Amino acid sequence: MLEYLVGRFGRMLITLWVIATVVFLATRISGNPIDFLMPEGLDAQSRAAMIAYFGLDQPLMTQYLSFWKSLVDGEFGLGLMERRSVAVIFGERVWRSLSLLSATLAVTIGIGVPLGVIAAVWRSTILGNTVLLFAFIGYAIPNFVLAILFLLTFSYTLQWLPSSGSGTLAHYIMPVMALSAFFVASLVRYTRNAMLDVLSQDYMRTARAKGLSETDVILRHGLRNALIPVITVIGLQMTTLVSGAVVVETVFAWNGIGDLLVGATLRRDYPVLQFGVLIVACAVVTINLIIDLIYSAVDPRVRLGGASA
Amino acid sequence: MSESPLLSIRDLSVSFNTRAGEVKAVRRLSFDLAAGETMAIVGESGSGKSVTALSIMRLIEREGGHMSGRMELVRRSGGSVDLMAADDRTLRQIRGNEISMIFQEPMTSLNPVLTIGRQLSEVIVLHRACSPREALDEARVLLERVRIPDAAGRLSQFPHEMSGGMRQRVMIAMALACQPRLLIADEPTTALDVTVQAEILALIRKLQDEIGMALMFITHDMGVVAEIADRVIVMRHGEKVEENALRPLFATPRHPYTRALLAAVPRLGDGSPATAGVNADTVLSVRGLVKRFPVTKGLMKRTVAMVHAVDDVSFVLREGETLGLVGESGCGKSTTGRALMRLIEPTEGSITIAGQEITGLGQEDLRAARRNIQMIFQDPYASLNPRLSIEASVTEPLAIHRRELTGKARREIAAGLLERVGLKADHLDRYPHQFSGGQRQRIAIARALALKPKIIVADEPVSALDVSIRAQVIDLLKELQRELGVAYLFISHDMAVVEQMSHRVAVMYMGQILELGPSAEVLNRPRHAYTKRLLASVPVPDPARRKPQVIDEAREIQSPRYPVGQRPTRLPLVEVNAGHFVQADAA
Repeated sequence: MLEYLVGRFGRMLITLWVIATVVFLATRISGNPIDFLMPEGLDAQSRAAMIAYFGLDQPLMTQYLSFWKSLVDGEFGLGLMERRSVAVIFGERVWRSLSLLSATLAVTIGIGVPLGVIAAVWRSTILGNTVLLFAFIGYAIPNFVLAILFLLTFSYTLQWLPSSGSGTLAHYIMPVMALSAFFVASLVRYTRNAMLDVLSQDYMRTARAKGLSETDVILRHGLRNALIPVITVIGLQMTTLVSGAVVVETVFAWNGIGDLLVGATLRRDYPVLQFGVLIVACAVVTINLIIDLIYSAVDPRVRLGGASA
Repeated sequence: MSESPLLSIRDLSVSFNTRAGEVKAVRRLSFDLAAGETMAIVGESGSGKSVTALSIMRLIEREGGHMSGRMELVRRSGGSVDLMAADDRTLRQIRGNEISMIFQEPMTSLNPVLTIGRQLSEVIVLHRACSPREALDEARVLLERVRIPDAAGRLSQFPHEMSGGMRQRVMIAMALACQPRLLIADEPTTALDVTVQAEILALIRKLQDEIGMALMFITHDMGVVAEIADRVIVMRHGEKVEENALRPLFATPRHPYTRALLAAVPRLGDGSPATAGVNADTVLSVRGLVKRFPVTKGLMKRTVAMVHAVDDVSFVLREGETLGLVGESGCGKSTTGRALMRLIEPTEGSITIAGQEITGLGQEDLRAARRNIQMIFQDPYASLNPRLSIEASVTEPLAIHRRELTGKARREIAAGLLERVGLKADHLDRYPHQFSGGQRQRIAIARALALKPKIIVADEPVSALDVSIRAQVIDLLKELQRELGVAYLFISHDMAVVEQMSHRVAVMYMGQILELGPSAEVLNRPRHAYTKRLLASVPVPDPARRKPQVIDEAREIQSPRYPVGQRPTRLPLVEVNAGHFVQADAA
């Protein structure tokens, strides 16, 4: 197990290094931030001075080294727009994003899995088919369309919920709903399929033959088996969830990392962008590790780092 | 009988609604089962025997069955209940408590994500007033009772950590947890090796005596029936065709179907074909065949051990001859068969097919060489592509190897082949799902014959078939051999079938051939201890020759796994009689 974790950690570092380098190069290929930063018609001399001030005249290799130096320092460089430490800029926003993501994840699993089980157990009944119908609808509507529909309904027309910003519990409702709709819908469908598969397994018949009640058969014997493929799917969808969050944060002016990244990309704010992408990459890689650990806890046949024939 | 029977079934009918209309799986079945009695229900697939079992448990409705009739059960309390009319709560009290059941597939009948201890104690907690702690203790006692070594340690294990025989013991322990009055065993040994089957049958009989429960034993195997039953019901197409006590049923079967069923059972000792001409040409020669699989560990995929699946196997096969390769699961017989075609790349050794060494051949030459060696697999449902027409499947070898032929010529060849294996030429345009298992296996045989190969490797070709169909397919294979002079490497775990088919037999164990010789010699005068044990385990379809009960502890199946660099001991084969070779220590 320890050997597995060490190896896994090593691979995580390599992944992050590759991502950081790709982002570093990509941002520099795409154009010069000074053009966004300075008013139009700036004379050549001051432009050159600005470029030198930000260190953008240095050879690529030198910039690359100082980029890594700033990462190691823990200072992470200064944002080009705000001239504040990137660490601080992110520090203000990271918890907002994390709380949005966690709330969405909790809602997704909390609603998606039970509905999926219901759709499987009561398949070809009105209840099961209704769940499935809503799942299709949720699957089909893009999250930004949903976000705008919510805004029109709940903020503009009914005036029940705040349209933007964050802070109170009420602020969470619409972003979480908009963001989770797609994931709840897909989780319902995956859980349903996994559960249907499990329902026809021999060990379910064994459980019934023991005299267990149908509820016990499904929850104690079925659900845990059905969760195995579902966990994989949740892991795969985490990346989609993060990119979905970027859109939803922008629509609801959530002031999270997604919002920040969109701005940084438009203005070519290298330090912010680089660091932001690194943070997101870190999150995704960590989540995948956690998923793998959960996976091995749920399925005893998976022994991490163990012998395999 | 003055005492009322434990279970009395009257006019049980079960039907299923399918797209093709209503299918009657069981028709007006009636029988009584006395307390402590063992009744076997025997029949081929589709006879309704498993449906009957699930109906008694009232688990068949869940699979879409509609039932009618009466099923009177005398309960432990002395009262009686009609299972057909019982409510859900009563049924749950009965299931796993008064009637319990063991299923055919030990590999899939246990929940893979729960520990053995949890699955055992669950049923104890459910039906008896006791704490989970006490239940776990009781579970350990149960495991000891089914002779599983290190019972305490097993409780925290998961099903995948155990062999099939071990899991079936766990299933039995689970079924017996509440000392049921009736145990229904649905083909409990069909998926197991013959030595393990013998152990499990002995165990069930022993425990039945101890607990005094009635046993309803469902099987297709007349040999198993003779080993275990007091009374037998023969079923066919959902109907009871005959019911009698064991001995008279075997001695004087009244119904023609029972007679046919008994006649179709291959009996060990029925004799085998005489050794084919010694002077015939050698078509296949295998020397020192070795196949090792690495066992890897960790991120770097370090090789930590080697599985010696096939270890130094040598034999020859002559024209028109059948060599039977027998052994239990994991002994390397299938790996050997596949390595011959280089479907699995051999690690070492030489394979000569029709005079041509094939181990070093490149892709093109290998393809050409494969014309001479074709294969038939065990599962005719899986080995035919469901989306290809029969014509496409049967002509595919021709399309690869005989490109010069026109489509029309290929179709004609395929039509001839189908007629040769007992099907009709107009079946060419149909698809595999339109055929029964036996017919599909005939199609697979036709496909294997398409190139007129010199050798056919038949890997358990009749194991998935019903006895009556099995006999027909064996006859067909023998007939084709006489006509075409094709040589078979006949891989099987079934000694009686191997005896019927083979001129010579090779017994494999842990990747090595232990004994090889003319069938009559090896099967009647076995020299190696393992061959003797294997033969002794085969159930004999003769009630007069029931084996004495010997209860063994469950053994873990030995695996030919060795640390890197270490090799299994190889003992030379010594000739003990004309053409009869045995590994040196037993000679």
